[in-house]
Amino acid sequence: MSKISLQSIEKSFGETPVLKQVSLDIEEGEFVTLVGPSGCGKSTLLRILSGLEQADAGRVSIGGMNVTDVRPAERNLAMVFQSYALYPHLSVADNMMTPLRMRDLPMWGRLPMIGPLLARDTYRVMQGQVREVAETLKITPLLDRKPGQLSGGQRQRVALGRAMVRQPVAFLMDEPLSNLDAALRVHMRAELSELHRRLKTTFVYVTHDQAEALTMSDRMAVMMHGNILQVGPPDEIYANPNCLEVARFIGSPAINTFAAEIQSDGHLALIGTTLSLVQPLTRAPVTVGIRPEHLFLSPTGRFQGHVRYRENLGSDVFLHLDVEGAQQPVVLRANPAQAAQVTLRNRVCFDLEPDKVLLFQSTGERLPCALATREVA
Amino acid sequence: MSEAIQDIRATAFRFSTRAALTHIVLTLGALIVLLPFYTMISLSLKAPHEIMQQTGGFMGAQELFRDDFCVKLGNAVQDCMVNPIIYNYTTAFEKAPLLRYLLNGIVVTVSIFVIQVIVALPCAYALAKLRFWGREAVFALVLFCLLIPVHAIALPLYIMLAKLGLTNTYAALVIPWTISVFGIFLMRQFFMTVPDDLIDAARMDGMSEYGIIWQVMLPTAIPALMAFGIFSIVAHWNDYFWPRIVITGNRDLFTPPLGLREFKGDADGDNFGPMMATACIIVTPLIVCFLLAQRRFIEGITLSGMK
Ligand SMILES: Nc1ncnc2c1ncn2[C@@H]1O[C@H](COP(=O)(O)OP(=O)(O)O)[C@@H](O)[C@H]1O
Ligand SMILES: [Mg+2]
Repeated sequence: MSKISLQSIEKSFGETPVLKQVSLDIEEGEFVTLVGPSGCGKSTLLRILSGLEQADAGRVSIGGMNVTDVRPAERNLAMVFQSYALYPHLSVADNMMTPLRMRDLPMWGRLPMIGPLLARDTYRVMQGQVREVAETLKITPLLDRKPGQLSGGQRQRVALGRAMVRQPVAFLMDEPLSNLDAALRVHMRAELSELHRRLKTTFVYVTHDQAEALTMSDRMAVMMHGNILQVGPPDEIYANPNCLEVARFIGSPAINTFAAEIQSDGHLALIGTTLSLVQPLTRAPVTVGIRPEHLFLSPTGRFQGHVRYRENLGSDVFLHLDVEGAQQPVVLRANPAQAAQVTLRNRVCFDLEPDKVLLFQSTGERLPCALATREVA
Repeated sequence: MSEAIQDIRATAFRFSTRAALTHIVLTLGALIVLLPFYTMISLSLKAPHEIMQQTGGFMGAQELFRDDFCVKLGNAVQDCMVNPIIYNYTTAFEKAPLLRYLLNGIVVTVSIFVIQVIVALPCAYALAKLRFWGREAVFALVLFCLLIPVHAIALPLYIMLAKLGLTNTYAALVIPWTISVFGIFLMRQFFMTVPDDLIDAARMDGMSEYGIIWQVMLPTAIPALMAFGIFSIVAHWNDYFWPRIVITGNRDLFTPPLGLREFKGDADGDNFGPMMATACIIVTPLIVCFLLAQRRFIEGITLSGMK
């Protein structure tokens, strides 16, 4: 049982509160992603979990045991850093062996030169473990090299290897892919997911990249300015964000938002058109959110816009439309065949899928809403 | 077309004048620095009369000459004819226990450097990487101490050592130098360039703070340590001032620069040949060390950090 639980964690640096009463439970074997914009406190939360940073208030427990005041090494967690943080003067094999040496050898066994002679058996076991992990990660040929002689991707693997040898309760990763080039990053996503499936260990993964969070996690926690706004499986968070900030942050291109108003007769006034609402019916200013893939071109569409820009991704084309009454360009996903018929600066008609419309209060909270699927005139 | 070529020529020409100027200035500088060394080596090779009359060029004629001291001891004149080089260098070793002095020099400089490192690394680590109350104030004090000249505190230091009965010991030569604010400052600047993640990784791996200093920071700081080592060793190997103060009677504790004094102000006048031979012998270890460490030294000075 190694359920990890963070309870009401608070942390300030000087006067600035960085974490405000953050709580999160992580089940054993789960791949949990902390995602949020830069500076929202993800790294700080992870460092508090690892023990590298001390929380001002709150409790960290691992497997039911309170570890709030336990040293990092004794929490048996392993961390992978964005900069890899390999020891530059040690070979790859020695880098990977360091956590084992610190854990399994007594003081005298760690002495240079004579240590390996005195504790020969332990060394042999450790070398076996290192070799095994190196096999898994396919870095055996690199074992004798120094980190300076490795490429970014290789260093990344070595850093993973150093985390894996000690078979920790959980892996903590702080933006481990940010320093890789785009192609390698996508490849490593798949590989990390695969590794997680094989090891069945808990992964806590920090990233500012919502795509990474969506592709890899079992559950993701969206953080903003020191709070966790929503926790849930990626699909759930994408389709059902509980507030406007989450909806805006998750998804690329970002969700379209419009200022709108629920009128006293229960109609929704939206960029020059009124839509019938089934619920709610109380009069209020609201924000309407709708994702690009829930808008579609249609000759009989109720909305009109001028094509300002075509963003061609090959499989999809995103059309950026200037729509009268909307503050920002509206982004709409079209398939390439449809998009081919559209010329720049021309007028197009489009419509929305009513059951996919998200409604938010002016404070940003989500409103349960149902739009009539059929307009009755 | 031809204009373009002229342009290229012009730029090439301008570039080379500037380079030539730079080289002339550098060469002049190098000459000024090297001239005393030239004189030192030259004098250590020549016979006394050549030195006095300033003849014989660099090497001297290398003719045998009469060693007056040998004659005074009652030897036959033909037994006392000596080659200048051999005379100068053997006299250097015979007249004073030069090997003993060299050994003293090594013991003192190495002890100073080792203790300086043992003190400076933890201090620099704390100043660069640990967060504690008053850190900035302590660092400001370090900077302030950089401004205090050695000579200003020499007297109080001497009095303290004398009260402790430590004058005329190795301890007197070593203890005042064991805390090097320059070393702390230099290493602190270097440690600032070491990524925090590396230290956090070591903490996750289970190293204690001292473990981090000796097993992670020390190996990554080798280039900076080499640079500091050269500053420290050169300064204390060549130091004449401090040993002159605390070593008053005991010739067994003389460091090499004190040894040079043995050739000065004798009853039979200055004996420049052997004196310069001694000087040559004293600087040789430094030059050899520097040549061996040259590349690392320059790396260290530029403080090229990680990555
Ligand atoms: N050691 C520190 N001292 C002062 N402020 C810090 C420190 N570490 C982080 N912060 C501040 O805390 C906030 C959150 O930082 P961090 O957790 O690193 O964000 P993230 O990883 O989400 O980008 C930032 O505004 C940052 O400036
Ligand atoms: Mg971060």
